[in-house]
Amino acid sequence: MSISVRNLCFSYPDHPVLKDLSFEAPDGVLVAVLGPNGVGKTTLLRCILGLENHYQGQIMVQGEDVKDLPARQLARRIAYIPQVHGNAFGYSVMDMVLMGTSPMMSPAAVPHQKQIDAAMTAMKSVGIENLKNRSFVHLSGGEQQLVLIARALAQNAKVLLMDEPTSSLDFGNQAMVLNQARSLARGGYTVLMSTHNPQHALWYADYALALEGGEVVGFGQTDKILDADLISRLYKMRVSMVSSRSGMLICPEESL
Amino acid sequence: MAGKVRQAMVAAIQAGDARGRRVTWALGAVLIAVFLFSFSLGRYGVPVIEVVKILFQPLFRYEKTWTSAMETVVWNIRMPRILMACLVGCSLSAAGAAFQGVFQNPMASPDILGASNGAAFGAALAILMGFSSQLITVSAFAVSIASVAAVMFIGRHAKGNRVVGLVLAGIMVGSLFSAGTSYIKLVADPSNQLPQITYWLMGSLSGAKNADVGFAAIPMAIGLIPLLVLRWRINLLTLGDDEARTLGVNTAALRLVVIVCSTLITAASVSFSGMIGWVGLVIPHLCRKMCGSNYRYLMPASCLGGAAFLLAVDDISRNLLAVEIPIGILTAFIGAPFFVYLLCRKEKAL
Repeated sequence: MSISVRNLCFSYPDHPVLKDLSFEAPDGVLVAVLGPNGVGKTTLLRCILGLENHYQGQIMVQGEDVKDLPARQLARRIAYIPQVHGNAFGYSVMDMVLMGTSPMMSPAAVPHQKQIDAAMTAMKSVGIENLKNRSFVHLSGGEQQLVLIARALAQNAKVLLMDEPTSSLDFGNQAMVLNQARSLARGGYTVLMSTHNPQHALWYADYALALEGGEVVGFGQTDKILDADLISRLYKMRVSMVSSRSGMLICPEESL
Repeated sequence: MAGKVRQAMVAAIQAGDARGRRVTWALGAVLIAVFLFSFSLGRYGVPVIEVVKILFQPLFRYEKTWTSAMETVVWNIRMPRILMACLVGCSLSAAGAAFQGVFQNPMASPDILGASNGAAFGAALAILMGFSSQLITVSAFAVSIASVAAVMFIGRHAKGNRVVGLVLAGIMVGSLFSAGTSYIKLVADPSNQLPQITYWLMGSLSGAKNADVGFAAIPMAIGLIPLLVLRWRINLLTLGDDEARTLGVNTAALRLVVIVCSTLITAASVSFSGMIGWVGLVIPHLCRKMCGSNYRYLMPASCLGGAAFLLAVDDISRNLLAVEIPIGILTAFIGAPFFVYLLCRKEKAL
């Protein structure tokens, strides 16, 4: 099991967020984490990434307890692909991707040929090697997201966590990034991705993890569990599922 | 050996680093040129060729074509001041670059955590007590370190974002010390103490002696070496805490090391030279423009550029007018317009 979460509970000082949450994600799958705003999707990701330590329960990544691993060891197992963000400094794409190699280097080292090769391989696998000398901040949102994915690949971890990777992208780039996530899963990575859009989960994800009120209300293969009832329950709205040539479509009932 | 160098060059080109490398070497060359030229400037002129001969005399045993006075001027009068200008410029610029990374803000400067305000208070207090010039330096250094320690302590207990907490604590402690300095100026003897305090606050390298250089170089080396060794890691801090941690960085430890080292070199600079502003903001910026934001090159470039800049400004400060212009005034005259320029072209990727 790439990721196994058992009885995870997490509270902020004023309110509980995650309540007794358990699931296991097998190797080489794309898991979509679904749920309304504020349900704790990001908190779950933060706990798995080791950014929140005050939780109860157990989080295992590739058989190791996240709490037991120092930052460097953890970074060799899990890579985080954040939302596209601005950076006040103008790094080149190469500089940005090279930062992914830092868990394999001693603190005093600077990147050498080995790291540069790893970065080039990572850029090639998402098809951005032609951008390597461009400035990161001048790229489009879709390209920036690909750079952040390449950085995670350079990190050489087998588990990838994506926090709403499509949130600031246009329609075409959303499809491009989600395709990329799916092909990474096909290539053996375990990808855990939070998303606002159940349609994305339905189209691209192998598994869906549905959260409501901090609890798991559904976990399993997407096509088996993600139905109109579950979506209606999660988002407090009535939907119908319409079948089309390219898969199921989720339609809000009011619009029909 | 040659193969290794070639390999490193190929790697640098592949990584798009050739520019950073070139800029660093060029700044080094500029520094050497300014360094040699600085010896020949002054009331007592010494030709550059003689300067070179005098400097390398212990190594190459040149035939003596210069006067003994020239030798005294070069070794005993200009040498300490020139070295001090280089050390202070290098330190302030490196500290500015480091703080900009830690605070993920290209507008951060070495005094962001109150080091300068603390030093000013320490110096003013020592002048008020009638201490000797060595004790003024010691007092400035001690209070400077203490003020940053206070900021770190408050920042540790602040709720919410660590970095914002530190910056706010820095502003508060800094303003507290500057109020203290104002009070000391109010009660100081206006005929001798007050002018001395005012002059100290303007910043000057005129008092530098060979012994001072030795004393200043120790804390500066202790601070600069880790900053240069860890320079590539500072890049990761600019991504923000969460991202840096998921990239395997112990952010709390790295930030602490960078802040402590930067504070050490800032305090050492300010306590020997007084308040010299702008170097720590302007030079890292210029270097960013020239060699990019990668700290692998930005840090050494800032060190070399800062040293060359402050040395050149100090040459102007001691040669432009018959009466020396405090260097803090000159750096502001050059730095402030540059800052305005930066503000106006902010959108073009700082």
